[in-house]
Order: sequence, then structure tokens, then C-alpha cells
Amino acid sequence: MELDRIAVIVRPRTSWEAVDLGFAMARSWFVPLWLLWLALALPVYLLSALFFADQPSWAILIVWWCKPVYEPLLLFWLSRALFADRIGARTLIRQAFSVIRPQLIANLTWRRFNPNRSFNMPVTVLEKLKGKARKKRIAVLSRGQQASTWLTIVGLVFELILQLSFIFLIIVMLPEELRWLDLDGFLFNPGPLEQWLQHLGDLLAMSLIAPFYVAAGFSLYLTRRTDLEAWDIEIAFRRLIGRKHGGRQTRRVGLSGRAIILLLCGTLLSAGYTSDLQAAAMEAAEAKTVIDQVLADEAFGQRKQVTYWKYIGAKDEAPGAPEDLPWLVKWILEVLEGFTQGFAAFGKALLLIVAGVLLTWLLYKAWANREYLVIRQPPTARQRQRPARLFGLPLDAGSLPADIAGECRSLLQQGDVRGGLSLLYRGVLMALLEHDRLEIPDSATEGECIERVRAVCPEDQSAYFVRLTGLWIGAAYGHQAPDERQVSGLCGEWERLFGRVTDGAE
Amino acid sequence: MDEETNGTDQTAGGLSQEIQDQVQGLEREVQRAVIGQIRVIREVIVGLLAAGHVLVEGVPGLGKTLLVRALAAAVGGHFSRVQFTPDLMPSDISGHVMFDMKRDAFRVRKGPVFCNFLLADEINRAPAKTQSALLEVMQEQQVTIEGNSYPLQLPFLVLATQNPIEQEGTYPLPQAQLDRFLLKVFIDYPAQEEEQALVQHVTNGAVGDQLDISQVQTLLQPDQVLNLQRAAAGLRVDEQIVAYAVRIVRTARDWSGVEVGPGPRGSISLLRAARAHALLAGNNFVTPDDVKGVATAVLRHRMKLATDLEIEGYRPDDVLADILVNVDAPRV
Repeated sequence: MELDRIAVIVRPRTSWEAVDLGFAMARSWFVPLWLLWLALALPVYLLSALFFADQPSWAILIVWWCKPVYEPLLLFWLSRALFADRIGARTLIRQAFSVIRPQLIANLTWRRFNPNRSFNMPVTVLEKLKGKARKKRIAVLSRGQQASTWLTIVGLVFELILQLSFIFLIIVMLPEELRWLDLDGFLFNPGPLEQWLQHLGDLLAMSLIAPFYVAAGFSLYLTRRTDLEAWDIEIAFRRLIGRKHGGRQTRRVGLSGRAIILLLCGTLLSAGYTSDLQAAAMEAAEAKTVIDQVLADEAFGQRKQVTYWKYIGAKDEAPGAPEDLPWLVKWILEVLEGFTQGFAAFGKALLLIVAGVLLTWLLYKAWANREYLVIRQPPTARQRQRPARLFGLPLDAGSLPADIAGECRSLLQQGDVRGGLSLLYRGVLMALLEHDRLEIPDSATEGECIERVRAVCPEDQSAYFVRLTGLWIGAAYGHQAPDERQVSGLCGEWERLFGRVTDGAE
Repeated sequence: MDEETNGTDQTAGGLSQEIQDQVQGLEREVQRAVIGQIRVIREVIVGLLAAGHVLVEGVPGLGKTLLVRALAAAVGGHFSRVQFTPDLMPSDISGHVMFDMKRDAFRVRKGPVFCNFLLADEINRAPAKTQSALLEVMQEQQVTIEGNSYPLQLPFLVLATQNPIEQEGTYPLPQAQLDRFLLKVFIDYPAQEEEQALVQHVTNGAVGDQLDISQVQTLLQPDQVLNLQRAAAGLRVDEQIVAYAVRIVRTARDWSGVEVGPGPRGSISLLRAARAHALLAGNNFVTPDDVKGVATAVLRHRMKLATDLEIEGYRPDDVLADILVNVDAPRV
């Protein structure tokens, strides 16, 4: 790693400055980073769309889940570009597999929801550490920094905003005359077109955020290493050396100065991130001796004499020191301390129990109301609401005889024309509800039922239903006795139109 | 609650052929002059058969005047039109007493309200005093001039119009006065085919922009209209139907987001209009479809929505659609 070729100014930064630097890097190299992300994500999306053509939600979920597959290559390219080493497409393709593959399973499973993903990625991808070494290294690097978590949260929020903005943009830009999409459809009941448009928006949002996310995480990593390994000092020394060599000036450099340069440059001038680390680790054992030698040199430090007053008399005895308290008070204090500790432990346990109960309750409620959580259901899966009574007539199968037409005829022979008509009407409704997927709300009038039947049923069945309904409403609301011959005729037609249907139902 | 049928006009099985011919013929004759707007024509005829008045809301140039004139021509009644303006006085509508110099006596000059069909154009442009004078005439069906009452010739139908887009300088009708109208009808722009047919029909051989009602034949006389109104009033109404109408009105009254709902007059009007609708459909009894078919036109002007709903752009029609979906239809 040639630190003097680095494209950014290396200096100690706060975490937020580091994030800002990352964003600046992403802006300046946005197009290559964006194209790189798309080059990896698009094939994944197309494959998912091919396999899950019927379930578009799965396709986009897979693309989203595989984010750790696309990001390492961005980081790799960025790390080389930062040191003025622009990698060509061919080289990148050759190295892609070796960059993405390490620890991919872990990245896609238990590390997928790690909020520090972008910050930890350089340790895996650039330092190529794994196992305990990786864990130890991450523990050192991430000490005292939470910015990477916030970076993930903010990135997630902005991604959502961009996705929604894309939907709103489509809705707003559609002319009124072409308003074949609406916001409700998009958000709550999307059809296939809305879903594919949403995917387009999701892909765009992810691709726009990814370069910034990766670059900001990398910048946080660089800043942390600058802080830990004093890269800024190293660069300053290198400039110093360069100036000295350039001017051909020979100046006596003391032992200590040489030692410093040798130490730091030897540590950091290695070729890669990993070798730096190893070098630093090897020198650590000898560091104390060298540091003492360095500090012993006159060039370091200044000696000055400071005079001040210091009380050297007898110390006052601290009132109420525990050792001087009576045993009873000591005992009470101990008990109280035990209580407070106990209370803290009890509070902690109580909190955990309450959280557990709350979580269980939420899971139970979610399970109990799972049908409300599903916004879209395919028509085949939707459970039809079948009313128990319609127009005052019971519709359960038990209330209907097996041979409706025969029963109707016998009622007609007994002179109960209205009873026969009622039986036929119920039978038809039952048959239509069972077999023609007819859904009739409680508020539907007879006329609306006819419209629904006409929309769903074959012409002969709907014509039959119209005639039957006409007779039925005449009897029900007009108090007109139905014509026996007409009812008898309807009985005759019943078997032809609905006989098989009800047989099948039973 | 079963009501007895009108024995003179109806048979046991259904409406007499004569009544059916008259009602259907009336609709057909009006459609000769007014191309399209089938729903509006139907609702106006419902108003006529139910002996109620109709408030029509629509932008200018949609055929409101033509509709009333065609209706008047088909019924053979007398037609008047009053353009309401801010300076219109009550006496300009009802009439006044003037001194006749020749006869040396006071003479009553009857106003345009003495007619069978009155088109009150842009009723909300006149001040409240003039509006209330007309609405009193609508309710009482008689005019009082200088202490003398003069009954109007029946049938008497007022078709008042409002323009929904120009609200400056208008006097919106108060809720109590809106309640006097049986129906509020929205007249909208015609569909492409209807407008094309209308333009072709109106411009064919026409000079200027006079309204052409020459094709409308006088099918009924005012007395026959009164008979039809009596026939509608005598249609059989099952108890379930009354309960259904009352249920709709009461639900609208208690519906969330409705500040002021329809009163009992709304229930009465709904049933009156449903009877007329049933007559128009050729039935001698009222069905739930008749009630539901006129519910929106009868109730939309009797409801005042809460401010938050109005701000969100909801109209009474939207709320009524929700209400009708949520009120159970009669179950026999």
C-alpha cells in the first residue's frame, strides 16, 4: 500500500466526517460503482424473475437478500481506485469470484442483518481475515464507533424513501387520461403491472444507495485505521523523506529519527492491508525498547521545572469510613447493597420476562390475525364468504332436500305454491354459491343478485334465475300468488340446469 | 304495512297496460328531444310521478331547459322559465296587484309560477327572500297575492337548477329549503356517442340555437298525469320495504362523518320516489331495488358532511354509496 498515492487527505476525522468523505468518494466515482452494482444485481434479478414469475415478491426479496454478494466487488474496486489504481473490466471479472466468494455463506445468513456490514466488510474482503482473527480485529476497529449502525439505518430509510418516491413519481406524472394506476393499487393491492414497476423502483433505489453505503463504510474503516495506526504521521514522514532526497541535502539524522522512520515505514510501507497488520504485530514486542530509546533522545521532549505547593501534613480522617462503623450499620449497609443489587437483578429479570411475554403475545396475535396480514391473495386461495341466510331463506345444505325438483313438485301438488317457489329459489342460490363462485353481500338486492348472476353464470342459468327472481319478488313484495304452471315449468327446468350441480355438492 | 291498490288503474297481477304505455311513452317522448341523459330523464319523471320537485345541478349547456320543455310538451302542460338574479323580487315570481287605469280598478297580474312546469334557472343567484317565496309555493301549491289565495294548476313541478362551478355572488339554499326538493339530480356531460348523436340531431336543419321540441308529441294531458301520480301513490308497499327505507335514512343520519343527516321527511320522500320508480319500472309493488335506485338522488341534498370529510374531497354520493353497501337489504 503506497499511502502517499492515496487520493484523499488522510487526517484524524470524526465518524461523521468519515461518512461525509465516503459520500464524496461515492459521488466522484458514482458511475463505475453504480454500473458495477447493476452488473451483479441485474442478472440475479432476472434469474429470480424467471424462476418466480408467478410470485414477483420473491424475486425482489432474493435480490435484496443477496446484497452482500454485490457489495464486496464495489469495495474492492474502491480500495484500488483510492490508491490511483483503476482496475479494468477484465481484471475485475477475473478477480470477481475470489473477491466475492470468501465467507459468502456467512455473509448471506447470520451476518446478513448485521448493521455494521459496510464497516466490517473491509476486514473480510481486504484484510482477508476470518474466524477469531476477524472477530478480534473487528472488536479493535469498532471500539467506540456507532456511526456504521446509523449509516445502515439511514441508508435503509433513504432506500425506502426512494422506492416510495418512484411510485409517487409514476402516479404524479401519469396524465389523468391514462390513470390506469392509482396509489391504493400500488401500496395495498398491486396487480402484476404495479408489482413489476415497484421492482424497477426497488432496483433503482438499491443501486443508488449501494455506492454511498459501501464507500461510507470503507471511509469509516480508513478513518479508524488512520486513528489507530497514525497514517497521517506516516504520510508526513514520507513527505519529509521525499523532500530530503529530492533536494540532495544531507543532514545528520540522529539514531532516534532513523529509528522512527524505520519503525513506521517498515510497519506501514508493506504492499497490502494484511502485511501492514502483521508488521505492526511483529514490532509490537520490541516497541517498548525502541520507544524508550527514542524518548531518551534529546530531540524528544523538553524538560522544565515547575514549582507548586503541596500539603504534606497529616490527613484528616474521613468521617464515617466503613471500617469504623458499628457492626450493625455495616450489616444494614451490606443488606441494603445486596437489596439494590438484588433489585437490579430482579428488574433485569422482570424486564426480560415482560419482553418475552410481549413478544409471545405479539406472535400469538399475528398468528391469530394472519388472514388480515395477507393483503393480496390469489383468487383460488381466497375463502368465499358464504352467508348462512339470504333474503330470509336459510341456505345451509341441511335445510334443502336431496331432490329439490321432486320436493317442489310435491309441494305444488299439495297446493303450497309459495313453498315450492321458495325451495327452488333457495336451491338455485345454493347451487350458484357453491359452484359458480358467486359472492352476494348482505346489502345486495334481488336486482343486484341478477346482475351478479348474469356476470358469472351461463346464459341459460341466468335467464332461469331472472324468471325465478321475478316470480319470487312478486310473491314476496307484491303478495301475488305465483302461477302454478310457471312454477311447475321452473321445476322441470331445474333438473336440467342445476340438478347435476346439487348432486355433485352432496 | 300493506296498502290497498288503486282499483281503477291496476289489475291484480300488475299495472294496467294503459298505465304502462303512458309511463313508458312519456319517457320515450322526452328522449326524442333530449338525447342521452337517460338517468336524468328517468329521475325527473320519477319526480313528476311522485309529485315532487327536482333540483338539478349541472354546468350550463347540458340541456336542462330542453328537458323541462320536452317534459311539458309531452304532458301538454304550461311551461315557464324564470332566470333567478340577485335583484329578483318575490312578486316577480308569484305575481302582484296593479292598478288598471282603463278599468279604474286593481287587477291581479299572475306571475310565471302559474304553470305546470317551472324552470327556476340558477335558483341560488336570488336572495333568500325570493327563494323562500318560491319554496313556499312549492310546498303549499298555492300563491297568496294581497291576501287572496290562488291555487296552482296541477300537476305542478318545479325544476330548479344550480351551477356547481360559479359560487361567487350566490345565496346557497339553506338545508331546510333543500329538504323541500324531492330529488337532487346531477346532470353531467354526455358520453361521446350521446354527444355526437345530440349534436347531429340538434344541428340538423336548425336555424340559430332555438330549442327544438317539435318532435315531442303531446302524449298525456295534465289530468292523466294526476292519475299516474295517484297510481304511484297507491302502489303496494310491503312492510319490509318501509323498514328498508327507514333503515337507510337512519343509517345515513348516524353515519360517521355526517354532520346533519336526513330527517323523517327523507324517509317519506324516499318511499314516495321509490313508488314512482316502481311505476316507471312497470311494477305494481315496490321492491328493494326501487328504494336503492332512488336513494342517492333523494338523500344526497339532505346530508351535510363533516368538515374533515369535505376537506378530504368526499361528496355525499361517496358516503351514500358506503351506506348502501352497509345496509342490509330486506329479508323476507
